[in-house]
Formats: sequence, structure tokens, C-alpha cells
Amino acid sequence: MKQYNREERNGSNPFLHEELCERLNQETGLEFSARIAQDAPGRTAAIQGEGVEKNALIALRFDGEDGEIELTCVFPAGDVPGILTSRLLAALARQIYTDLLRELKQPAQAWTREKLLSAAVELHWDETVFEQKEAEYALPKLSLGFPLLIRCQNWHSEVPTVIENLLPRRDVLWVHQQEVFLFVRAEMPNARDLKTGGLLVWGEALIQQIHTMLADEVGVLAGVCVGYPTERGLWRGYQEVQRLARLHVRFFPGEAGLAAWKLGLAGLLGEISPEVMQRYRRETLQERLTPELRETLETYFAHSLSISETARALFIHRNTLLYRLDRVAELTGYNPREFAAAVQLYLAIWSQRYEGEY
Amino acid sequence: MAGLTFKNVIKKYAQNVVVNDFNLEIKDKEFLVLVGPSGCGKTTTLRMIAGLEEITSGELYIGDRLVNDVPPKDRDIAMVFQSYALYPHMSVYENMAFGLKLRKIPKAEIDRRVREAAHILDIEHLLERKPKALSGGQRQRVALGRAIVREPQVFLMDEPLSNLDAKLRVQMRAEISKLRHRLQTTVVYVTHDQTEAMTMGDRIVVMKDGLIQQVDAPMNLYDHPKNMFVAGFIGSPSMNFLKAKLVEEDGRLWLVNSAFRLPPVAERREALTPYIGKEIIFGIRPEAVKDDAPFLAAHPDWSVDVHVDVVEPMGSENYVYFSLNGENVIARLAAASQAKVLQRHKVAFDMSLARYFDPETQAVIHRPGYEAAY
Repeated sequence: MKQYNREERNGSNPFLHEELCERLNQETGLEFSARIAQDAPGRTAAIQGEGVEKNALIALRFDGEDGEIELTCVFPAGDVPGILTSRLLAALARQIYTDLLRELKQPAQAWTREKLLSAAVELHWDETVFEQKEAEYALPKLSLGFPLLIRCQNWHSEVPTVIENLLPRRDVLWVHQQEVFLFVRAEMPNARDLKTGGLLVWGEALIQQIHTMLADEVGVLAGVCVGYPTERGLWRGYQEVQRLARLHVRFFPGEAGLAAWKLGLAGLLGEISPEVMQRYRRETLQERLTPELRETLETYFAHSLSISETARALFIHRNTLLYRLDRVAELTGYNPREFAAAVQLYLAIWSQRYEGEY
Repeated sequence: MAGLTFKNVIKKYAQNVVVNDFNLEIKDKEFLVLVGPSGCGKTTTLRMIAGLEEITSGELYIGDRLVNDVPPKDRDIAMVFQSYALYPHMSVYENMAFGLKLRKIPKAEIDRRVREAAHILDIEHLLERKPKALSGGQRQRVALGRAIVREPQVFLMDEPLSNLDAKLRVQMRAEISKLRHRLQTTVVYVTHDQTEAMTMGDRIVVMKDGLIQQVDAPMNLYDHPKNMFVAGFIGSPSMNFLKAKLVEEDGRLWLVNSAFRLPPVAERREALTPYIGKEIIFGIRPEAVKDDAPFLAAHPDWSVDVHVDVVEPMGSENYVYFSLNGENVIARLAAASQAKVLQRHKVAFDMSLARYFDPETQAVIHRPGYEAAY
């Protein structure tokens, strides 16, 4: 079938008539032509100029979307059908027309999720518009899977080939500039059992697999971000992995990628601008901590504020550690041995590490 | 085949230095292991060799070629990773051939390489199978095969065994060592597992916080650690560290704290003299703590009474835990040891094997008998 654009999808469209005739001709072996009937409504089927010696004109009529459609066909002399056959032909034409309209209204072949994503990005659709379009084009249902974004620092024409072969079970693979967005079907025996965490482990493993495969096969360095598993909300999934990609660059540039459930504090602090975070660090740490005191604090936090564990990990005496913690309190005004102050310091130290300030 | 040279290589993310002033020469056909805790910069170093991370400053050579700006695909290296992904719909043969196809290698040549690699890895009988029909060890072999068919100058391996179970890991460890001798290629291997490092490497680079702590032959790292970090990282269970004051009495040196009074051996005297009157750190490996009667009888000065906290029977030996002066100590005693939980027990420290560290710099004090590996 020919492809029709949206403007052509109505009853007066000559292409629609052409397609109708083509299908009817294929079914009957006759040669019909179609037009919108200009005169008053007529009979369903009529034969003019009957007779064994003369050619006959057969006219089939039925209601189209914007008027009565008339299909006509000239029969050779001696081969004129009876009125009953004409009515059957009219019924067949009506059925083909109805099917054709249904196909054009649900162009599953013409619209894919990949095309929809392209249009959404180009036309700045929001989630509501995207979902309306998904429903309008009756795209097949998504399987349970992960939205996943591969953001390549360099590019190789074989990137899509590698991904297609590595992840054959997917609902979407959309290449846009140096990014590949996928919706990968979950492959777990108990895929719906999210409580076990098994599905998340599988999803997280995709990060290393894709990252290393692209590096190994085509020398492409890619950050891979995986969103929460879902069965719906493709556009939301796409937005989620885009956000993850931004946080990946900001907080975890040395990692192969980022899974939504591994965000931790970055999910919260990522909403705060780098400038605000920098101001917070400056106000909290007073830019006075020496590398030794910073390492001490980090180890102290890593050991859940345990004095003995921290002292052991740092190979220092307990009293030396206490002295250092007092020194932190003196320099910053926050005593790391008090919970609320420790939280303040922890956030500052965390962001200092992940915002790459040292 | 080629060696590798790092000259003052630095890698930074913004202001965060992850590899700092890395200088190293890896010889042609050498099996070099980068080992260290998570975040020490070992994987970043490997990825710089692969061209997957830009070098912030410094120079990296593969053979004689400066490769700082050479794209990854042109570096003639092959990588084997921890997450050995395979193409699920392709056979083992196709999996091994796919990378070569992408590189437009002629079909006959691909076939030759795949069959040769399959022969080396003993997976010829699996060539028609799909990944799903393979065991973990077989899959890992295919992943190795994918690297071997490239015939690279350098193999880079990033924790290739850490996804395998303990038994298979030991088996594959031996396989890779064997393979390395057959392939006669330079290998750079990253692991956080000191046992893997000790058993596989010609030389080991111990890293921490982006800095090389020591580059040495495995036994040198064990016997002659350069600092407390290396001493604690290499060896399992780890070396015990005990703080003590060094004092001189009646012309002899003594290590003294609330739990013991032990004499360093005479040959350490000169090196330890500057520390007299100061606190130092005394390191003793678990196997240098003994409790057999002849040793105790021969070295009454080296013995200490301890209160046993835990005894872990390992079959061939017992791990015995106790504390001295507030520090936990592990002893690796013979299976026949009479040490019992919550009872007093006499042990002796083999002071000829003791190591001493400066508490400020954490550097070792004196390494008698040390000879550098290269």
C-alpha cells in the first residue's frame, strides 16, 4: 500500500480512491475508477446500457467520509453481470473502503516509537503530548524493561550494529546524534519480582557490558545510564536517563555509567546548582582543612563515626584522632562528633569529592 | 609485541587527581599487575593505555610510539573485562569473528585466527554453540578468545575473573598464566585481589590514592614492603601492626608497651637508633607468630602471654585472634596448636621477621637483604 500523509487521509483524497480501485480490481479482475458522486444519492448498484450487443457501465455507490463515492466500470459486450452481482460488488467495495480507512487511521507500520521520539525532540513535546500520540498511533505495548541511554564521547558508524547484536531483545533503539536511546526488555526468570533486587542487578550489569563492548569492538568511550524498570512511560524514561547522563558527567565522570537506583546523594544534590553547592562548601569547610584533616574526616565518616575503627584504619592512636577531630571543630565551627554537625560536614566533604574540587 | 612507558602521567577529573605522576616502564612480554583498593586509580591507568581516558599530562608510549593522541582502535591493544558480554544470538565462532569483521579483515584470515584461538583455549568443540549453552568458565574463555584473535601488541585485562565463583577463579587464574606463556605478549592486568596479583604477576604495582606505592616482584612486596600500606595490603591475613616505644636498656634495644617487651634483632640496631625514645610501629606477619614448644624454648625473650579471643580452624592451620595493647592481632598457628578460646596462651614473635615503620611517614625503617626486581 502507498504511504499517505495525514492531510491525504480523508474521503476526497484521490490517492485513497486510487488505492480503493486498485484493491477492488485485484479482487475482481475488473477495472474500476472512482469519484465523489456529484448528483443526488442513487442506488447502491446500477447497470446502464444492458444488452448482449452493447458495452455496459456499472456504477457502485456507497457513503464515503465526505460524500457518496461512485465507482464505475465498463463491461465488455456480452459479459454484463446481473444486478445481484453488482450489489455484491458494491458490498465488496464498501468493505475494502472501510478497511482502508481503518488502516490509514492506525498507521502502525508508518509510525514507530523511534519516529515518535525524533518528532518529540524536534517539536519539544511534553509527556502528555507524547502519550497522546502513542495512543493515537496505537503503538504496540512495551514489555517490562529499562530505558537506557548511551552517550558516546567519540563516534563510530558501527555503534548501532554492536548494540543491535548485543541487545537483540529491545522495544526501542533510537540513534540521535552521538546518543543511542534504548528500551531494553528485562531478561530475568522472575522479572516482575522487583523486591529481590535481581532485576536491578541485571539492569546495572548492562552498564559495564555496553560500555566495555563499545570500547572493545569499536574503541568508543560511552557513558551508559539506566533508568528504573517500567512497562510504560517511554518519554518519562527518556527524560530520566537524560537527567542521569547529566548527573553522571557532574558527579561520576570516571565511572562507566550510572543506574537510577545508585544515585544516592547525587540525586538530591544534583538539583542544586554547582554555584550554590560551592558556596555551601566554602561556608562549611572555611577552606581551611588540610589534606590530612580531610582524609581523617572521610575515614571517620566511612567508619560510621567510630573512633576506634577510624584510628585503626588510619594507623594512628586514638588520641591523635581525637586531636584531629577537635582541630576540625576549631577550624570550621562544626564538631564532627556531634551528629547534626557531622551531617553538615559530610555533605560538604561529599560534594567536594564528587564535584571534583580536589 | 611491545613494552609500555609512562612518563609523569597525570589524570585529573576537574581538580580531582585520580592518577598522580605515574612513571613506569613495562617490559615487552612482561605480565604486570596493577593492584590496589577500590578508587586507587588502577582501572583509570589501564583505560589510559586503552585510549578510553584522556591523559591530562605526561606521555604514554606503546613500544616507541607516543600514543597520547592515538585513537583507541589504532593502538593495537585488546581488552578483557570483568563483565564479559557476548552477543547472545551469535555462535561462539561468530562472537569471536565479529570484531574482526568490523575491522574488515578478510574472511579466510578471520577463520584462521578464530580456529587458532579456539585451539589455544580448548574450545574448538564449542564453536557452534550459543552463549546461553555455555558455562561461566567457557564464556570467559570465549571472551579471552575475542581478545586473542586480534593478535594485539598488548593485552589489557580489567578484573577478568571477579565475576567467577571462587573455584572457577582459581582454575582460570592458572589458565591465564598458562596462556600468557603461550602467547608471549605483554599483559597489563588489573585486580583488587592480592592473591591474584601475587600468583600471576612478574611484577606488581601497588597503588593507593592514584599514587604508586611500590613496584616490585611479588615476593619482594611480601618480604620487603616499602611502607605500611603495602605491608598491610599484600598478604592474607594482613600483617599485624603494633605501636611500641623503642627504649635502650643495658646496651640493648627494647620495644615496650603495656602488653610486651620485645628485643629487635641486633642487625636492626643501627637503623633503629634514631628512633630510640620514640614510638614506632612494629609489624609482624601472622605466620611469624608461633607457639610451638621448641621455638618458645629457644626464644624466651620473644614470647608474650595473650588472652585468646577467637580460634578459627582452617584445616591445615588455625587463625588465632587476640589483642595486645588495644590492637587486634592474628596469628597463623599450626593445626596442632593448643590455643583455646577465652584462655591464656603463650606465643612468640619471630623478631628476625619483624618490620618497623615510621609512625609519621608510615615508611619502612630499613629493608635488610632487599634486592630490587629490575
